Amino acid sequence: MYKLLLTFRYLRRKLIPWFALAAVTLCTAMVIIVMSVMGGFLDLVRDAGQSLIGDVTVRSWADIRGFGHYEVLIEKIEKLPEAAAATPIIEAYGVVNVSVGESSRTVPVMVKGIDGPGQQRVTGYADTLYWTDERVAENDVGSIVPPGENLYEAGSNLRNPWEAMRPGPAIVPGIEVSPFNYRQDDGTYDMGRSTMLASQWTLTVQPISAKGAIDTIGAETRIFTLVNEFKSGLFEADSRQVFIPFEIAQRMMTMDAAEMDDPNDPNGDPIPVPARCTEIQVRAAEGVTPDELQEAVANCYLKLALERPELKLSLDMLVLTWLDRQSTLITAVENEKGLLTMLFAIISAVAVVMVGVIFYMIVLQKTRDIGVLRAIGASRAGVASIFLVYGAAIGLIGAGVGTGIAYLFMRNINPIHTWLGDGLGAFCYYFGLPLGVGVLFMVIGLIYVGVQTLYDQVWWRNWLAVAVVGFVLIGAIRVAGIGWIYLWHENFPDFHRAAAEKGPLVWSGIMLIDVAWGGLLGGVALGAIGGLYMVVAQHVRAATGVRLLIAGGIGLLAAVLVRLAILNTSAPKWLSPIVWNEKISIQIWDRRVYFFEEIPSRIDGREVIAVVIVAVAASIVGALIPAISAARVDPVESLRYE
Amino acid sequence: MPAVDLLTTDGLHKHYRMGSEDLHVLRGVTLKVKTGEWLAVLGGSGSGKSTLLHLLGGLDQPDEGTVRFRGHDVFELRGGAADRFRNENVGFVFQFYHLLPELNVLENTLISAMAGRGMLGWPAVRGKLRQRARALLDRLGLSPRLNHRPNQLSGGERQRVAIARAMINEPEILLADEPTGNLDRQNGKQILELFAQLHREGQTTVMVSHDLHVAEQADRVLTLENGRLIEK
Ligand SMILES: Nc1ncnc2c1ncn2[C@@H]1O[C@H](COP(=O)(O)OP(=O)(O)OP(=O)(O)O)[C@@H](O)[C@H]1O
Ligand SMILES: [Mg+2]
Repeated sequence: MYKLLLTFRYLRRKLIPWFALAAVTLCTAMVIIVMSVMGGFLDLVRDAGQSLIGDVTVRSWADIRGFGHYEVLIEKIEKLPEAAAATPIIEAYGVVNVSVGESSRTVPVMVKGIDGPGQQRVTGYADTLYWTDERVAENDVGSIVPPGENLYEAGSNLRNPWEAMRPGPAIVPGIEVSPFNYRQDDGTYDMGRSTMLASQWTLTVQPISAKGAIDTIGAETRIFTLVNEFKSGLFEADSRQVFIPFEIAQRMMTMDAAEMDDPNDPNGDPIPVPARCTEIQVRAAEGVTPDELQEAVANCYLKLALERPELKLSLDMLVLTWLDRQSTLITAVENEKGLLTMLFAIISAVAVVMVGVIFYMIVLQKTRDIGVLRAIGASRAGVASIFLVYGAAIGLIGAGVGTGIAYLFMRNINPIHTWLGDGLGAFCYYFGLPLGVGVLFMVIGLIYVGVQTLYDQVWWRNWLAVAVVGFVLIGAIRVAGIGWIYLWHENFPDFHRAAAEKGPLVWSGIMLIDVAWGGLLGGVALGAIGGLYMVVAQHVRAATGVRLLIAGGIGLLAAVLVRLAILNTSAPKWLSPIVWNEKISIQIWDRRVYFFEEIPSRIDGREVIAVVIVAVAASIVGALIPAISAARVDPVESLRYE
Repeated sequence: MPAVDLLTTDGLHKHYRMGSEDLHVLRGVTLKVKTGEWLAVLGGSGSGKSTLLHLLGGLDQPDEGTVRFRGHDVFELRGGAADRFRNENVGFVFQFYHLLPELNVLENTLISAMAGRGMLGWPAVRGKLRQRARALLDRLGLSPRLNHRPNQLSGGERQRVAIARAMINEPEILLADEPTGNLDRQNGKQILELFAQLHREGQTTVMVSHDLHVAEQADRVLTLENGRLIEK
């Protein structure tokens, strides 16, 4: 019982444990945030995948010439209780030329021939059409569209009889295909209104015969009318994919029904060749998993092939779930998530060390009390468990608060990101890893302030000492950050270009200045917080935590004011280290560029529980060595002194 | 109740070795403490009084010789058994009070009662022991200060809390190391009066002191000289 009593007393009456608490809190929050962002990222990949390709796909194995009798198959599949809807698709590769007046652009695209209503039933693709009524109105192009037929309606039903009125059939390209769309800062598009409807879309594909022969003379070219654009949120698709009506695609690819001479009897009746498609996409019925649907569809196909041999259905077929098809990307993101989580877990190991160091200091400070406890009959295990319980308490509280912070952060991640980007002009420089290390070093610096404050009452000396330590630490972070980016700089085009432009000498110069200046300012800031704490501690009678909050609050406020002053007055801009950052860093989440529309996030309860358990366990592990040294305290030795 | 030998030692030796130097502090201390006896050990500074007391309480190990409590060798007890022995049978009053600064008077008194019981054992006896602690502190004139912390108390008050802590488990033997050493005359007298009272109630006590006036209050005074005990 005395263990709990002392645990809580130590927690309440000491400054240092607050730092251990802060470390655990930060690490927990960091790991949860990383996991949630990556988890959200995964979800997005999955959702985008699903909305592009349906739950299950039937396609020929390693063959793009397609398969016949798909109507029969679709009819059968739609009768399955597991399936909600099925639709045929023709997938082909082509080249599209977009031209407006003089300027034109030719890009390779994946052509998807779709049946509008069918596609809508299977993938809900109308939701991805970008030009909704409101957007059309906003862009002030409503008047150009024929009355009663806005782009949205036309786009959601590609079999619109526009074909007759317009120069060509409808095309719905991804929003990034057209060179005339300009993605703005806020992530929306300016359609380049005058050009959009004036643009001419010429699509060329290469037909393939039923026998798999490529018709080398007859590349098929047609002019299309732009009726809408889609935005799936997945850059891959948005920049490289176009939808056209199924029948048109079929005709262009010569996949429609035809007749062929019988090779064994050249004079006999021609053999009919059935119309083909390259794949069938199926949507699962409510409550049916893709795997269940996959099995049902595969069985259905086999049954049909056996029941009706005259259809000569190929057995070289694949029935894939959307997960199978997206597996490379999903696996890559999953690996990434695993890697990042591990990296952050390693960083969190620092928190363990910190808990250990802090507790060890407490043990040293409390040696006499531990001796007294041992003398009056507390067991070794008993005094050891004071520190273990202590560690567990810090772990629990830290993990709890960290989870709360992570939750708030995740709920507001996009506003926070925008605010960071717009409000303070801060760049997400050096990416997450060095940033995390930086935060931890900051915490260590603050611990240093705390310790100095406890043992030495001359605050300006702390201030100086901490400034020096901060300088070294922050310099180290920056060197680590720059080194890290340097190793990876080919992945950061801006950085790469800058490195090439400025040359190595200028480049290293900038880096050095950045390191020195950032380190100096960071050190001064750290020292200032230490000094502030001392001043507050001398003048404010309040709990340690409250004093810390006051000092931290004043420090933060001062920092913001200084920053605003530098940016908004004629003070030289180089006073702000962020100016240097801008020279050498890359904005990670520029909203004009996207892989995904927003920073995704998803908090997974099980992952959070796992992180919390690990945080508590890590805190206990951190407390282990101090606990052991507490158990080894010799009572006689410790009692000798006053 | 006839007095029996509660604590006996036989030829206790204790050395402290520091490099090549060998400090032979206790050189064959033989001693018998009977139940109900108040024994004082008189000795100059550095004569080994604290060392002896620690050996008697089983806190430290002798290099030679034995300490028997009711006939059982104290140093045969291992680990948890030794801790329990100290907790249940021995009450220590240290030379420098040694109260825990984070705890208030009541908690400091109760801490040795808590230390002897597990997390589960404590709630069952909590009420009873709190009452005992209050009674004890009341007797020592500390009832108005139950919620004060050690740094808010005077030296005499601290020593009284230390005595309360030593007595809370109703130990068979009370070992007091210079209980008045850091107190002024007035406070010292009060503390000694307290020991006398406890003695009248049958408490067995061994007290060490360098002050003859203090030692004289006891039933029997032994002098520690050159590592040996001499009866005067
Ligand atoms: N751990 C140790 N290492 C070395 N020498 C020690 C140690 N403990 C005690 N001594 C020495 O043993 C001698 C006896 O110490 P002890 O504390 O028992 O004396 P004491 O009689 O209680 O003195 P005082 O009246 O000043 O408290 C002293 O000379 C002391 O320096
Ligand atoms: Mg002594």
